[in-house]
Amino acid sequence: MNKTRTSIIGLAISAAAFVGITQREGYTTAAVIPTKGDVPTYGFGSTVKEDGTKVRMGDTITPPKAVRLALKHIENDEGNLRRCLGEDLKLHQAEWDVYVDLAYNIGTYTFCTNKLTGGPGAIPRALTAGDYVGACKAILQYKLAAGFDCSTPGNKRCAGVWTDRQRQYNACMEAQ
Amino acid sequence: MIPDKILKWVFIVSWLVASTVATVQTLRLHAAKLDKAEAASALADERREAAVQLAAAESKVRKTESNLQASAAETREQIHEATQAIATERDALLVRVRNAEARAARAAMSSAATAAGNLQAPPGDPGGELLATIGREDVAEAERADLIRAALQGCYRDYEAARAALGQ
Repeated sequence: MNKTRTSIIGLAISAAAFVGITQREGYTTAAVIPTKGDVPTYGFGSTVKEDGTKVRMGDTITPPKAVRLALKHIENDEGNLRRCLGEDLKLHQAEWDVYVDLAYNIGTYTFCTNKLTGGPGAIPRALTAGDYVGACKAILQYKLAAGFDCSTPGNKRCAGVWTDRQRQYNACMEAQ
Repeated sequence: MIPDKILKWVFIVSWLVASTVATVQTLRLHAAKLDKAEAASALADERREAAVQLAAAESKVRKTESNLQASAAETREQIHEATQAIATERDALLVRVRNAEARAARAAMSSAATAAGNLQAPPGDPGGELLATIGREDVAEAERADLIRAALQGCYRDYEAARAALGQ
């Protein structure tokens, strides 16, 4: 792993991480509701169309358009993350990949904001304090899907969410 | 016959002229020697100054060269580390793709079994089908792209280091 962290201004998600996100999200031509209580998504988990409107049940998309939409969405997320983390922050490529992956999944607002206090989220707070390990640990806090705890053993509702958080946590810790 | 007195005076005058000329020539020779010594001394000073300046310039160039070599070595090390990280990420991604392929295969078998039992087959899993066919190629292509990017970043870094070192 790189010994030095790079300013997040110069970081962009790696191609492997992008493929990982598309692989994780899975592809659907027609809009579906991925987990109970979730909003309609299509393509690679996109919740908004290219024109910015929300995906609705019955909408369809082709794979090339879905890739472009996912990349556009990720680039947009990266911009939001740079704003909420501060451009002075330095991260490893693997850390940036993990946080972009997480933000794509939970949304940048949820990533950046603590919904209870309205202040910064747990990860931005830890990162700006220089607590990189604490930020990795905070990934595991994002385990709720429509109020349900996805880390509940044996659940079939959203066990994949918890598996993802553990994978992201492990990838983050490996970078330390 | 020339009188002895005149010869004597001619001799004296000749001797005085010869002496004066000899003295002047001696003085000129001495002055020339002094000039030569001064010129030699000045030349030596200039050579010494030039040698000092050359040594300083050479030292500066060597230092720049050494800094650039260190920077290039650091870049190579960073590219090596990035390559290792990319390989690790590729392996992890391949495991995920294999798992996705296995899930897709199980789902396909389950659909076939359901259809064979004359029950209505559930709708297909386009996501699974897509990943089963292009997942590995995507991983290989992503690895290639990341390796190229790591090398390009190293190239930019070396360029910036060289530009800073050469003061351009």
